[in-house]
Formats: sequence, structure tokens, C-alpha cells
Amino acid sequence: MLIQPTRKPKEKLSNLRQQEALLAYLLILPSTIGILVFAVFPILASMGISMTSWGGLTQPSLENFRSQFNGIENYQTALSDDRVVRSIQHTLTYVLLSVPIGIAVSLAIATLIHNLKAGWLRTFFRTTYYLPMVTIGVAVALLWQLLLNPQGLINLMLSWFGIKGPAWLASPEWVLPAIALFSVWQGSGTSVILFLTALSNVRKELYEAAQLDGATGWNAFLKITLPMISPTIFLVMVLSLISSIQVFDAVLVMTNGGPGDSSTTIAVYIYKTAFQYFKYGYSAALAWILAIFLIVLTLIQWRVQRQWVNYDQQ
Amino acid sequence: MTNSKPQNLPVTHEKARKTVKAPLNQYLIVFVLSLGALMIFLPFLWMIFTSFKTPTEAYAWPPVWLPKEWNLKNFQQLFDTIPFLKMFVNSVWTSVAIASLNILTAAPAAYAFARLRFPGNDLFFSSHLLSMIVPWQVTLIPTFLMVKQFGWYDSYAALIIPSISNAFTVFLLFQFFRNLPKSLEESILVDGGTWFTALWHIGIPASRGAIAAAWLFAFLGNWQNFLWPLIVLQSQDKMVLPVGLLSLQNQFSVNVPVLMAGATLASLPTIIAYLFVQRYLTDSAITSGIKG
Repeated sequence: MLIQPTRKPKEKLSNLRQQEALLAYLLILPSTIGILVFAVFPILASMGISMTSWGGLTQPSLENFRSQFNGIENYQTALSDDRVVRSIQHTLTYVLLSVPIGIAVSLAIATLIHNLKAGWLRTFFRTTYYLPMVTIGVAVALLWQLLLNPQGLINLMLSWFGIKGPAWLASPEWVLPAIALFSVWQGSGTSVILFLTALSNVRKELYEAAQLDGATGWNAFLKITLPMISPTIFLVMVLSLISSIQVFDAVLVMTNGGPGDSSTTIAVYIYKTAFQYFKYGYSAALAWILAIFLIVLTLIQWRVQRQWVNYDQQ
Repeated sequence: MTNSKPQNLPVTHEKARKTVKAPLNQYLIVFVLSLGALMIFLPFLWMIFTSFKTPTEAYAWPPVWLPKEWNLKNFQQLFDTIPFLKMFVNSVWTSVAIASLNILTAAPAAYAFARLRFPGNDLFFSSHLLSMIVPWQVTLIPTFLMVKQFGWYDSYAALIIPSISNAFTVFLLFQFFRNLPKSLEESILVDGGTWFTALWHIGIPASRGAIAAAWLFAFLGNWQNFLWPLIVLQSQDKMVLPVGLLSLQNQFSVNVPVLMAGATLASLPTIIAYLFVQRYLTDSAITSGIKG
């Protein structure tokens, strides 16, 4: 057999290309099947369900879908549903309490840890602050239910300062601040780790240069540290906004949405609509309203970030 | 803070370097951070103390710190009420199974998306991203109904199978693989190797650390997961810990010490395991820092 020397590398190349594609399809197959079946299909199905009056009593079939189809009626109902409006108010109150405090606290903790000289102390505190994140959420929520008891540890500590603490979880005004307090305690560890990584990536020369210009301590923090870690501040903000808007576990365990409905957030209301009131169609519509809100919010944040996030540290 | 500011004075570089290194008083930092650490530890201590108290002691005002008698009555009552040990074992093995299956499917996919060229790459990758953007409330009802249709309700299959594919893991490992230098596989391909040998000799060994970290995250996520098992599991002997603890709450809302006994037993093993893993994680972070 005669082999032309110029053709061989090319042939080998296209052979490798085919091999590469074949390998790729094999590698992505299991994950892609799972995503299609348990994510993409349910997403499409829930769009359909959200346009029906389905209550879960009949079988999910195309025929039933047609007979119970009601277009955008669920979405219209949602906009005038008093309980939806209230659950959105509760959610926003919780978000406005937990997100800014959570970011401020974790940034302060991270800055302090970063300024520690002893390595073992840095490890010790980082490990400590992350601890609540690894324990089972339900267990610590039950624990905080006890701490926030009118006669619990929190009110004992307040009484040392002469403050008579409220009834926290049993009080309609204090229940959301109480859950926000718990979530700051539980969730700050993740942000602390993210901030620590960002802080250690700020170049030391910048501080030295600032020092020459007379900027120290607080000034250096404002003028150098904050702008340099702004991408991480943005990331933490996006992540904690998304997760706190969807707050669910803590509420369900600690108050089940009560007292009355004063801690029923939107995620709790969506859950109850489906699994306690069995209004599948309406619940799916509410879920889609939440989803669209979250996606739009994230897009807006990406637009606005250009004005304050600084990406030229590399 | 308390630093003297050498403003307007000619400062040598050496001098500046010294002050930069200790801008805050070390003792003050340790003091403030210790107060914070106390806020973390105190609740956990309170949980342990309460698990030995009598109900009267648990609700006394002013609160009592330590129980008069340290006995295991509450723990005995816990084990008499729910199959705690079975639930614990369930939690461990299902979380290990989900995390491992998750890595086994996600790591190859992430490698292909990050490093291989093939038609449809973007399309399949965006289907993964889509599942990350849409919140869980949207997929909850349809997934629940599917699981019921498949006849998996109240079985481990319902718990495990829908949780295997996790786009977050794919994305996490995608980021890692994308940052590896492209020349790694090329060196093998140039030497006449195939893509399969490149994967075996380069892709897998290089990613051990990242895969271990991703596995841990996946494990923790499922260890904590509470809503999905709450919906798809019914029988007590199949339940996992978070749901078991919640069912305990319904039965013992007036007997807090038993509840805290459950919370203590559920938390302590995780905390101990975490302390070991944390050390390993720190070490691997330091090593990779030196390499990079």
C-alpha cells in the first residue's frame, strides 16, 4: 500500500476530531439524560401545569390538561391575591434584614481573620465560623427555636443589659427579625470563606503604595480593600439575595409560617399551596412568578454592577 | 487606628513595610473574634446541656445552665420513640450514594464541556445552566408527580435518582477543568496517544483535589436536604435525619430535652467529621497554593 506522506497528518487529525467528539458525547450522556429528565422536562411541564386549574385529584394526562386549561387565569389571580401580596412583604422584610447585616458581619469577620498573624488562629476562627453550615439545618433551627423562646438564652443575655426581650417567634413583629438573626448566625461562614479568599488575593504592593501616600487603617480599607474585593462583594450579594428570597427551611421548622401568617414567605406559601391546599396549578404559577422575578433581578444586578464593581485587579 | 501616621514625612520603604504588616492590634482582633466564636459555641453547648435536663429545668426562668442530674433518660426516650440509628444510617448512605453518583456523572460531563470540541457543546451546556437558573419551586411539583408515576413514592429511588444530576457540580468542575493548561492533553496526542489515554493519564489525575472538594459539597447538600425527603418519604424506617428530627418536633414540642437529645446526636458526628475534613481541606488548599 502506498501512503502519501502529505495526507497522513491530516487524516490523523480528522480521526482525532472524530474521536474527540465521540468521547465527548459518551462523557456528557449520563449527566445530560439526568438534566433533561429531572430538570428540563419538569420546567416545561410546570409551565403547562401553571396554566391549569389542576388540583391533583385527577391523573396528569393530556386530556385532563385540555379540560382544566385556564390560560393566564392563575397569574391574574396571583396579582390580586391578598395572601401573595402579604407573603411578598414578609419576604422583602426578611431580605432587607438578613442580607445587609449578613454581608457586613461576614466582611468584618473576614477582615479581622485576614489581619491575624498566627496561622493556627486564622484556621481556628475560619473553622469555627463555618461550623453552623455543616450541622444539619433542621437541628440548629430546632435549637434556635429553644434559644428564641421568651424565656430562652437570647432573652437571658439581653436581660444582662437590662433589656426585656420580646417573644421573638411568637410575636408577629419580631418573628422575621428573629429568623433573620438565625440565618446570619447560620450562614455567614460561607461568605466569610469567600471574602477571605478575595482578601488574600489583594496585592500587598497596593497597601505599601498607599502607606507612602499616608493612607492607613480605615482609609486604606475604604480606598483599596473595598474596591479590590468588589467582585466578591457582588458575588456574595447576588448569592445571598437569591437564597434569602427563597428562604424556606428555617421558616418551616421554626414557625411553620406563623404566628398567623406573619412569617409566611413566598417560598413557604408556594409550598403550602401545593402540598397542603393541593392547588397544583396555582402553586406552579406562583413558582413561575418567583422564577421570573429572580431572573430579572439577577439580570438587573449584572447591569448595575458595572458602575461599582472593579474587575481590573489582575 | 492607634498607628502614628508618618504623613508628609519622607518614609523609607522598609519603615512603611513594617507598619503595613501590623495595622491592627493582634490582641484586640483575637478578643473580638473570640466573642464571635463564643456566639457560635454557646448555642451548641446549650443544646448539649439541655439534652440532659428535665423539662422543668429546660423552661426555668431565670434559665439554669447545667442540669442537676446528668442522666441519659432523654436519649433513652429518643431511641424508644423514633428509629434514630436507622435514620442516621439512612442519611449517611443515601448522601454518600447521591454524592458519588453525582460526581461519576458530573466530572466526565464537566471535562467534556470544558476541554473537548464537539457539535452541540453549547446547547447541552446551556441545558445544564438552565436548570441552575430556575429555582426549585418550579420543578418541585412536576418532579414529585413523575416520581409518583414511576411508582417510586416512599422509596429510596425517589430520594436518590432525581438528585443524582446536579448542574452545580458540573459547573464547579467545569471551572476547574477550564483553567488547566491546554498543552496537557496535546503532549499526549502529539506522542500518538488517543483522547481516551489523555483523559486517563491527564484529566483524571489532575482533578483529584477538585473532585474531592466537589464530592464534599454534594454530600453536605444532601446531608442537609430536608424538603425533598419530606415530600417523597412516608414510612419512618426509610426517613433521613432532617425529616426524622422534624417528626420528633411534632411529638415532643412540650418535651424540649428529648428534642435536643436528637439534635445533639444528629450534630455531633457531623461536627467531629468536619473537624477532620477541614484540616485536610486546609492542607490541600495550602499545597495547591504553593504549586500555583
